[in-house]
Amino acid sequence: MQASPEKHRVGLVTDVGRIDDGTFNQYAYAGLMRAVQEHDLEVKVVETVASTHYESNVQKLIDEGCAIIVTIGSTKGAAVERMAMRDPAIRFILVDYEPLPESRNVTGLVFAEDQAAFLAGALAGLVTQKDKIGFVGGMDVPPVRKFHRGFEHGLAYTNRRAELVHAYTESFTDLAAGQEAAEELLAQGVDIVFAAAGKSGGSALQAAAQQGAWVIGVDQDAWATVFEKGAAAGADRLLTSAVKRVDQAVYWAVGQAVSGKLEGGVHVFSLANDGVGLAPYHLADPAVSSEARGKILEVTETLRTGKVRTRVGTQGEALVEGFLPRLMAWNWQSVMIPFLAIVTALIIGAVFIAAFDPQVWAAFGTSFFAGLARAWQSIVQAYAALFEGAFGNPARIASGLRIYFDSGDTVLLMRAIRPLTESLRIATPYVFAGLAVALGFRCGLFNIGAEGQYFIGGLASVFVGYSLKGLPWFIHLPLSLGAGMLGGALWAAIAGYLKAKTGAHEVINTIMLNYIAYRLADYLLNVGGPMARPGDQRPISPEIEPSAYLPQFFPADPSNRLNVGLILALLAVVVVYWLLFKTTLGFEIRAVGANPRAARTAGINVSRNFVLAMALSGALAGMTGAHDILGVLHYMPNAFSAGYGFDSIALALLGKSHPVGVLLAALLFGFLRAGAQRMQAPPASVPIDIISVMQALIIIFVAAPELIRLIYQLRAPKETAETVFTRGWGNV
Amino acid sequence: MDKRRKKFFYALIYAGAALLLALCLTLCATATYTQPEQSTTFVLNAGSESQALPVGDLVLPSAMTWYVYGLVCAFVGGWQAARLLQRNGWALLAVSALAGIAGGVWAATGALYAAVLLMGGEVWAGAALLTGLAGLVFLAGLAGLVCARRRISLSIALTAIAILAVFAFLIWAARDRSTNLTGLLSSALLRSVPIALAALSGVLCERCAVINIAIEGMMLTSAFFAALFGSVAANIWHWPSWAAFICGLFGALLAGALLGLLLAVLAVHFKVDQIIAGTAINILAVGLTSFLSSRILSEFQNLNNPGILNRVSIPLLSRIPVIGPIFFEQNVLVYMLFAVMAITHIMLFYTRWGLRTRAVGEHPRAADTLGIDVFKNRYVNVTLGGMVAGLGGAFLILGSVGRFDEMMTAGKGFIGLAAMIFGKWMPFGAFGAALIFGFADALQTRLAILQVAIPSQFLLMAPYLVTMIALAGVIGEAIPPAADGQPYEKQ
Repeated sequence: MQASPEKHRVGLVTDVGRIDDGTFNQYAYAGLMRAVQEHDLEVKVVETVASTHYESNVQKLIDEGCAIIVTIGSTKGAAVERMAMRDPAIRFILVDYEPLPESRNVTGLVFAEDQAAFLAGALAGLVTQKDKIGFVGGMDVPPVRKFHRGFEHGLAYTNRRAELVHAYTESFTDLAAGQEAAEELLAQGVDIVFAAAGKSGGSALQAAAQQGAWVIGVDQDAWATVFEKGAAAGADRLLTSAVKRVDQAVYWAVGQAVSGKLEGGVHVFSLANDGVGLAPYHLADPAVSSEARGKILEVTETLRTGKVRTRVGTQGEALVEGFLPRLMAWNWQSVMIPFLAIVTALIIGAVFIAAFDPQVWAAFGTSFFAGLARAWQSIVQAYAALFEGAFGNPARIASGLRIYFDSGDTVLLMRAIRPLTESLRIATPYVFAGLAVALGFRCGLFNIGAEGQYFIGGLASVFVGYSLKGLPWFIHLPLSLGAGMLGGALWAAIAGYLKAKTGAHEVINTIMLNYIAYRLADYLLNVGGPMARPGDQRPISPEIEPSAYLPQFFPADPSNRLNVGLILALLAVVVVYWLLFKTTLGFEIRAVGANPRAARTAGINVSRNFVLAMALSGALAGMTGAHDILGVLHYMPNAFSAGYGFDSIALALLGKSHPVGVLLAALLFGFLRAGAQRMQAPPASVPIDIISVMQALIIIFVAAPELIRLIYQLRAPKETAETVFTRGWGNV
Repeated sequence: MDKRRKKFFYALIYAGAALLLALCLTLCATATYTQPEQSTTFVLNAGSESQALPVGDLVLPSAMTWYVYGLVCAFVGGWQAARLLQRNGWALLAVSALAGIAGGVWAATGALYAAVLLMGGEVWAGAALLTGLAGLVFLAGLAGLVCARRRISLSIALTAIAILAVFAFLIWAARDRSTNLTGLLSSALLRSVPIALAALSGVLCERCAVINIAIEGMMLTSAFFAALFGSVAANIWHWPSWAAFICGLFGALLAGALLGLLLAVLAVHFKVDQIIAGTAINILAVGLTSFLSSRILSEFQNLNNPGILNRVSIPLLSRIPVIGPIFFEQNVLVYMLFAVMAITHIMLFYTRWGLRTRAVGEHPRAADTLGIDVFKNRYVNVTLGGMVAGLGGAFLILGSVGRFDEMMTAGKGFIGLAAMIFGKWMPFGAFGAALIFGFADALQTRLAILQVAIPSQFLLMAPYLVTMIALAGVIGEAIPPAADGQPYEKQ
C-alpha cells in the first residue's frame, strides 16, 4: 500500500519534543526550510510526542510519498536504518547517528564534538581565574565522552595549570541530578562549568550561573535553549556554547539529496566545513579579552587546517601521546611529496637532457640501440657531473683526507671539498631570498620582486662599502649590511604601501619595481654614471673597502669564497622563525595572511601589517644582495642578476613557507646550482637552464600534490592543510 | 568605495589639480623664454613606400603651442580644483577658482601675443590637424575606458595631464628640429600589439575568474615555437613565405594553447593557487626556451630565421593621410589583433557563451546551479586565452623582429595584465590602455633619437612607472570579476 515517492516531497521527524524546542529540532527545521526555499520542495513535518511513536511517524512519512526523510535523534537510528532497507528509493538523512558504512540510502550526519569542545576548553583556559574548571556529563556515551576529552585537551592547550573536575548525572533528563552535580562542582571551587548532559545539563548550567560561575553550553546556543534569550536568571554568566551546526548540516544534506549527489554513509561536520564552532559571547562579550579572542581565532584556524588535533578518538577515547605513536600519526606525505617532486623533476630533466642532445640524435641515426645507449650515457654523464659539482668527487675527498692525516697538508683536501663549500656558498643567498618570499606568503603577500630588492640592496650596500673610508670593520660591516637591508626594505615597502592604500596588486607592482631597479642600476653603474668606477671601461662600481668584507672561513685560500654570511643566514632562519611564531607581530602577520577580513575584525591593522611584512621581506631580499656584494664579489657589476626572483619563490613553496623548510630547500638549490655549473662544462655540456625547468616542475608538483599522488598512487591524507598564499587582485 | 580609497582619490585629485596648474605655469614660463621664431616640425608622411596621399609637414611655433596648452591646463586644473573643493567649502572653492582664472588669463594673454606675432603662417591648419591626431591615438583608445565607467571625470583629467605633458614635452624635445609624427604613432601602435594581445588573453581568462599571470611565459614559449616552426617551414622545407608564416603561427598557437591547458589543469582541476601556477609556468617557459634555444637555435642558425611579415595595405583606407599609414598599412597580425579584439567583445557581451563566461566569473555557484558547466567553461576560456597570448608571441617573432632571443618578452605579459586592469577587464578598454603603454615605449625610443638630455634609462623606466601609477590610480575603481582567483569547488 505504499505510494511511489514524490520527488520533491521532504519529510522531517523530530526527536521527542516540539519543532520549536530551541535546539536540534528547531535548527534541523531551519536548515530544512533554507533548502526548501532554494530547491522548491514540499515539506511534511511530524512531531514526535513520545519515543514509542517514532517508528510509526517515520512510516507515516513513507506512506505519504516523501522521497527524502530527515530524522533527528541517535537512539532510534538503528530502527530507522532497518526501515530504510525496505525502501531503497527513499533517502534517509539521520542527524547525530552513524549508520553502517554499506548502507546506500542512509546518510548519517555526525559532528566533531571534540573540536567544538576543544575550542570551548581553550576559551575556558583563557578565561578562568581559579584554574579549576568543572564538567557535567550525562551518561558515559561516545558523544559525551568526545565532549569531555575534547574539552580537557583544549583546556590543557591554553592553560597548563588548569585542573578539570567532572561529575556525571547518569541521565539526560533528570533536572535535579544536574543541579546536584553543579553544586558539587562549585563546592570544589570551580569557576567555569561546561555541561554536556541534555536537559539535566541545562539545569546544571542554570544552577551554576545563578551562583556566579561562568557556564558553557553545548549542542546549540544555550542562550536560546537554556537561558530563554537572556530572560532567565544567570544569562549574563553564559560564556559561550560548543555548538553543532545542525541547520548547516541538514541544509547541505537535503540540497545534495535533491540533486541526487548525496552519498550513503557517514558525513562528518567539523570546523573544516563549519559544522561545529563556538556560539556568540552574548552578554559575556566584555569579559572576553581581545587576546583571548585572537587566541581562539588562531586555535580555530590551526584545528581547521589540522596542525593541531584534539587527540580524541571516534569513541571519545584519548589518543595516546608519546614519541612512537606521534611518529606513526605524523603526516609522512608532507615530507614525501617534496621528495617525490624532486625525484620526478630529476627524471623529467633526464628525459630533456637525453632528448635534446645532438650526440643522441646522431646515435639514433645509426641504430636504435646505439641511440638508447648514448641517451643513457649522456644522462649518466650529466648527473654524475651534477653530483660531483655539488658534493665533490668522493675518491678525491678520501685521498685528500688520507694525505691530511699522513702529512697534515691541507691543500689537496681543500681542493677536493671545494665543490661542497661552493654549494654552501651558493646556498647562503638562497636562504635569505627564500625567507623573504616565505615571510611575504605568511602575510598573504606574493613578493615576486625579490630580484629588484636584491638590486637595490646591493646598490645601497656597495655604496656604503666604497664611499666610507677609514672605519673599523665592526662599524663598517654592520653599516653596509644595514644599508643593504634598508634599501631592500624601502623598495619593497613601496609595493606594500600601494597595496595597503590603493589595493594595487603587489605582484604587478613588484615586477614593475624590478624593471625600474634594473634601469636604475644601469644608470648608476654605466660607464660615466654616478656610481661607476672612475677610469674603468666596464660598467662596474668601485671596489669596496676591506673593512666591509664579510670574513671568509678559509682566509688562506682566497678563491674559496665561503664566508660568515652562512652563519648570518642560519641566524636569519632562527630570527624569522622566532618573529613569525613567537611574537605578537608574527601572530598578526599570520592572522592577516590567513584571513585579512577576520584579522581586521579582530582589531589588527591590516594596512600596517602589509607594509611591515613587505618591508621585512624586502630587508631579507636586500640582505641577499648585501651578501653577494660584501661576501663574494666586493664590487657591483651592472649585470648582477642571478635569477633570485623566481628561485626564491620556488624555495618558499618547497619549504612550505616555514623557515626550516626554506633552509633545506636552499641547501638543495645550492647543490643543484653548483652541480649545474659543472654540468654545463664539457664533457656533459648541458645548458644550465635545465635547472630552471626542474625548478618549475618542482613548484608545480609541490603546489599540486594530487599530481604526485596520481603518479605514485599515494592515498590522499584525511586532513589536508591548506596554506593560503595569495588572493585575487587584492580585494581585502 | 571604502574610506581609505576615498581618501586616496581625493589626494589624487588634489595632485592632479596641482600638477595641471604647475604644468600650466611651466609651459607659460618656457614659452616666455623661447625665441618666438623657434618652431617644431612634425613630418606627417609615413615614408616613400606608403600609399597615403602626401600632406604638408606640420610646423608648429613652439611658443604659441605652449601658450595654448597652458590655457587648457589652467582650465582643467581649475575645474579639478573646483570639483574637489566643492566638497570642502565654498571659501576654498573661490580661492581655487581665482587661481585657475588667473592662470588662464596669463596663458590666454601669452597665446594671443604669440598668435598675433605669428599671424599669417600655415599655423591654424596645422594646429587643427595636431589636435585631431592627439585625439585619435588617445581618445579613441580611451573611449573604451570611458564607456566602462560611470564616473569619468577623474580619469579624463589624468588622461589630459598625460596627453598635455607628453605633447608639450615632445614639442620641446623636437624644437628647431623635425620628427616624423606619423611614424611615431605607427610605431606606438606596433609596440602596443603584443601588450594588447596579452591584455586580451588576460580578459578571456579573468572573465571566467582564472587569474592568468603566466601570459609572459605563454608569449615567450609561443615566440620560440613561432620562430622554430616558421624557420623549419621556410628554410628546411622551402615553403613559400605565406605558408611558412602560417606554419609559424600554428606553432605559436599550439604552444599557447598547450600552456593554457596546463594552467587550466593546474588551476581548475587541481585547484592550485592560480598565481603560484602561473609563476611556475613562467619559470618553466624561461627555462624551457632558454634550454632549447641554446641546444637548438644557437647550433642551427637557420632554425631561427623565419622571416618577417610584409606590410599589407588595405585599399582605399590606406590612402587616407596620417590615419592610413598608422592603421591600414600594417602586417596581417595587427589586423588579426583588431579582429580578435572585436570578436572577443562581441562574444563576451552579445552571445550566450559570453553571458555564461561572465556568470562563471561573477558567481560560479549560481552558474553551476543553472546548469552551466563551470569547469568546462574555464577550461575553454583559459585555453583560448593561451592561444591569444600565443598570437602575441607570434607577433613578436613574425610581425616584429624575426628572430628569437632569450627572455625577449621583457615583461610585456605583465604590462599586458596591467593594461587589462587599467582597461577594466573590457577588450576595447584593454586595447586603449595598451596603446598608452605602446606610446610610452615608442616615445622613449624617439626621444633617444632626438638626443634629449635625459639618461635613456629613465626614459626606459617610463612604461613601468606609468603602469604603477595606472594601477594605483585606477584599480580602486576597477572591479575585477567577483570570483577572480578562487578555484571552484563543486558541491
